[in-house]
Amino acid sequence: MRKLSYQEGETIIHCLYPLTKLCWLILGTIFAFLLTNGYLLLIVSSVLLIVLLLINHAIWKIRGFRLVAATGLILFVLYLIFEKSGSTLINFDIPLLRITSGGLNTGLRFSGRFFSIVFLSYIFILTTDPNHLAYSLMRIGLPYRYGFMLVTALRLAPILENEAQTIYRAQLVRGVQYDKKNFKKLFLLMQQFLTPLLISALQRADKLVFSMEGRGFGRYKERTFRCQTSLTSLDMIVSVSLSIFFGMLILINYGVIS
Amino acid sequence: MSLIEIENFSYTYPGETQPALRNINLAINSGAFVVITGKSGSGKSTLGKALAGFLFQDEMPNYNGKILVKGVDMTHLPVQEACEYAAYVQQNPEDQFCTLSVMDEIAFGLENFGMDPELIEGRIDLVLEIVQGKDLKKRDLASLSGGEKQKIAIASLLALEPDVLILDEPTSNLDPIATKHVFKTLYQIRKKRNLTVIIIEHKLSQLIPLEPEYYELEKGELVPREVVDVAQPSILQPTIKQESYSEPKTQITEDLIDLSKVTVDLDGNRILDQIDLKIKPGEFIALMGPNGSGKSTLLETVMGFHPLQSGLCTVFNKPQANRFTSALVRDIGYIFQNPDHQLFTQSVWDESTFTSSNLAVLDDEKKAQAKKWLDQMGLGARLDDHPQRLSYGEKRRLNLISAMLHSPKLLLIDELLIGQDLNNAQQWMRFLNDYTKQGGAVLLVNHHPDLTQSYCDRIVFLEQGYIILDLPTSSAFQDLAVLGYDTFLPSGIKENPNA
Repeated sequence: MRKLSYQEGETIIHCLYPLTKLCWLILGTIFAFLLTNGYLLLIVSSVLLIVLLLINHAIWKIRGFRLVAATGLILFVLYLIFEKSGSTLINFDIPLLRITSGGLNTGLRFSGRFFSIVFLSYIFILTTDPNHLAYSLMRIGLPYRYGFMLVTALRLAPILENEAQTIYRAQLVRGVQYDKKNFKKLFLLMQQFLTPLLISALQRADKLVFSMEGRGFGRYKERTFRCQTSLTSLDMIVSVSLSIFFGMLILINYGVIS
Repeated sequence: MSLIEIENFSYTYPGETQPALRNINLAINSGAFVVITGKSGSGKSTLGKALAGFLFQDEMPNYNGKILVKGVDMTHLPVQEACEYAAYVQQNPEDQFCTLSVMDEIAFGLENFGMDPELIEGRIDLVLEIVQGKDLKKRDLASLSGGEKQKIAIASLLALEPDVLILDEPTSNLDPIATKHVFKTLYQIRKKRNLTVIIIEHKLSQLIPLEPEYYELEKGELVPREVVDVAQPSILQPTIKQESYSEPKTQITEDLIDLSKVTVDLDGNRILDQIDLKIKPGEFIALMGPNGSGKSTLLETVMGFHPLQSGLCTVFNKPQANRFTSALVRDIGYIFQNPDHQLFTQSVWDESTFTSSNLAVLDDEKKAQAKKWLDQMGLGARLDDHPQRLSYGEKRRLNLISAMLHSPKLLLIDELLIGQDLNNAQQWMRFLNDYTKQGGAVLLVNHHPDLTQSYCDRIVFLEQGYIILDLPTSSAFQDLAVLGYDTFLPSGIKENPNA
């Protein structure tokens, strides 16, 4: 299983400006809520799944994806079984297994929304370097002190994850019996686990402050940025295409176009 | 006028009564190459931080005297300004990095000072050339080796063009090869840029050819030394007792550990390849090799932290795959690299008895043993102190006692001696040697050839996941000399390879 994190690549979506992707993550989520027609949401989530598969052929191996897929499908089945409004589409002559148009549409609507939002998030996370995102946000006006909170968090997160694993192992080799599912002293064990992790995190933060200030961080109100990437024509083309796509869906959904 | 002038400087840490530095007087000329050495806890890092202006950011710092760099008093400057005069490279580059890529890290300081983005690229190229790291430019920091990280840490501060570069034990986490490269790089930087370089360091043998000025800190006081003084055993090699290789000190010949053709992959990369290793009772084995050669992974594999790709790992006559890690704890004591990751309790006494208590073997005899060892290791007066209040060296000693008190048959120790002066290191090696004489076995990851030669029975040398050498210590060093691993040789063999 691979972590759900940024993966280098050269797809069109990888090449987009991080803020373009952030905007479309937000807009796509809004559109998913504006759409009420289950069939249209099925189209949206299917398109997004295809995009996701083009980005990563082994998307099933990304941690959490199978759970997401199972959750969406269960959501669909539950609405299909328990929502009985509308006309009957299939009748198995068993009370619970009567499929109605209302059940199908509601099931597609809720699972479609769920899948659309989750797939959009997966696409964003897999194709957006969080470091570039932070720098892009700072370039459009996010105060750099806040922007670097994100950058340093990204820097420290994997380190602290490794440290947590080391501390867990250090406890095991000192006779703490996590691996025998001993929950008797869970609170004490958690305290013994979190204390060194917290101390380590604070020590790192302390050293990081000196490291950053020791290179002039905070000396001036403004700073420059080496990375000068910005919007390109590709961002414009993709944004216009997506606007047309979602615009058409909204018009169809609300009956402007039949 | 000297570039750096320290006048009657003393400093006491907040909450402490004893000063860490006492009445320091020092003058360093521009372009000097200075080494400050001294025992663990003597105040070396404190002096480095003082020179960089790091100690004066509290509201009421407790100090006397002046520290002048280019005539500017560092005690009155915020760190953000002090770094223009003196830049401080931390002991562990991992602690210093605040971005994710090499270019961002080097650019960070320049961006903070508002440098034109078009000029930043050129400065990055320049400093990478100086530290001989041009090939690292496009890399992510996470993908760099220990030595490469140290180069980038140095480059990120060099980019600011400070007058003084201070390095706090820059090679403490590095193997001898990387250590040599870092020292050579620093020497060349100083020559090319006329930069004043101050290195706080224990590993002096590799610095002597670079002819630095030496100072030694003794209990907070700074004493200038001549090369002949530092070449004396008191600093460089304090009378390391030569103990010739002897057969394992016990008659039991049954293997404690038997690794047969063990291969381990992590994240798709082969870390250990076809490892064959047997450990018998009474053996004191040094596990050596360059950074990233798989030493830590080997210890972790024995303890069952990694699944085997192939091969068989037999631990105390049972296949390790069939056993919980907690079931191995009675027989194996394990010490990780970082002491802070393995201190769990609220007092030194609780910490020393933690494992024995968990294993329900803490009887009066064990308590008496713990008390004796704590006294022996200088922790007897600090039984009620919180373990996190101890110094780094004291924490390591406590780790050692905690891992040994329940009388395991085998100790797996990862880099015990980092950052320790030779006197401390020798004391610990003697302690472990005594343990093996009583029938215990030790597998110690160690980068210290002189101590290995003096105390270890056998050397296992790893390179890129393979064991390239597994021999008794004396013949192992001869073979390492033939194979060209000069930096891993003890001083005696280095000077006379045919000895």
